[in-house]
Amino acid sequence: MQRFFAFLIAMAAALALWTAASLPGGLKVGDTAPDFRLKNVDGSMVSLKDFKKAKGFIVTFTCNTCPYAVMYEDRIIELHKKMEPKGFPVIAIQPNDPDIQPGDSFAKMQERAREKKFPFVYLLDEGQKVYPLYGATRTPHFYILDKNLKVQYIGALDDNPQDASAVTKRYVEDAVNAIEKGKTPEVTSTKAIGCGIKAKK
Amino acid sequence: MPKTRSIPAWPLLMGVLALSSCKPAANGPTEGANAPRPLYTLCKTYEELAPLLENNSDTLYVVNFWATWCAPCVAELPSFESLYQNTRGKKIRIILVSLDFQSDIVTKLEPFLKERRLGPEVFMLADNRYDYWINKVSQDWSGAIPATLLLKNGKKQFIEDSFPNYADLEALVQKYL
Repeated sequence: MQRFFAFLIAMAAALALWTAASLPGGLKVGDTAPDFRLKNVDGSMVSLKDFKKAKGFIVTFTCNTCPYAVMYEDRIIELHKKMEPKGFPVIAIQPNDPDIQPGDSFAKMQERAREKKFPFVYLLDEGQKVYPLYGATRTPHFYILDKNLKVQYIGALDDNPQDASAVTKRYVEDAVNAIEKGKTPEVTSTKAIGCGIKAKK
Repeated sequence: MPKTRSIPAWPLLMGVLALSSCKPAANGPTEGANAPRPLYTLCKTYEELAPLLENNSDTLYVVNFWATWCAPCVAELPSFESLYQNTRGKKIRIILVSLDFQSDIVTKLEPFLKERRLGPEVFMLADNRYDYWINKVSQDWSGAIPATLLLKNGKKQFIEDSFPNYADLEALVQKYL
């Protein structure tokens, strides 16, 4: 009887491992996000654990070549300037494959960061390994993590891509403010349009 | 505000009769049929567009979501044009829904459409409640474009992907026709 139970447990464990490994959708709110080691536009390698004083992270999948994402750049810069002093830096990751999208090459990323004076790190997802783990599907796509890398919010920056002055809901800012107070954000996930991420199939 | 030129009588009458419907705008290429077709039709809310996305018709609806700012969307438009040309007379309705901004209609969308002279019907959805209507189109959709909805007899199939070549699109559609 004992051996049978042991066998059952082993099968259950194997099944759990298998499904976890093959989860298609990426992260859900409440999951723990994976750390990474990606190259920043200044040439250094960056991981989330390097930010010793961070209380959380605004992981932002964005790129050079999507006009929609580019349109959000100024807001992302403002967001970093406002939130980084509170302990919540923007961590921008470029997920497109430069072989398919030359405008998103590392050199082009460096150019853009220089041009717009990005105050945040802008990392290349070399080999396109990180964005599938997060489940990012478009640019821009925001994942707010707390300091334990637990996902607290996934989705859009705000509710008005067209007009920054007409925004009524600042989803990311509200999420960060909630985490700061040790609370769960009121809105934990939103959908928005954006450019699909370009990777080899 | 949608730009209108000389408006033929019948769309104006239809517009008056159905006040909560999308508004046809400008005049596009005629097809030698009864009346000039609008260059595009503007829907200010999802609800105005909904009948094309939620119905039980036995006509196959192929609804592609795109925008002039989305390069892969623009790159696959010729496939939808070919599909349109190759399925004339079949029970199919090909609809291109632009998600361009209302402020870009005159400067970007209209010149683009005038130059392209597309066969399929073009609609423009100018509803800011993205989080709301993305889920109405499909719970499976993350919001990334290009994306295509197939609808027939009340059943939906949603493809959150581009069609790299025409053959892929045609093969998919042939299953329904």
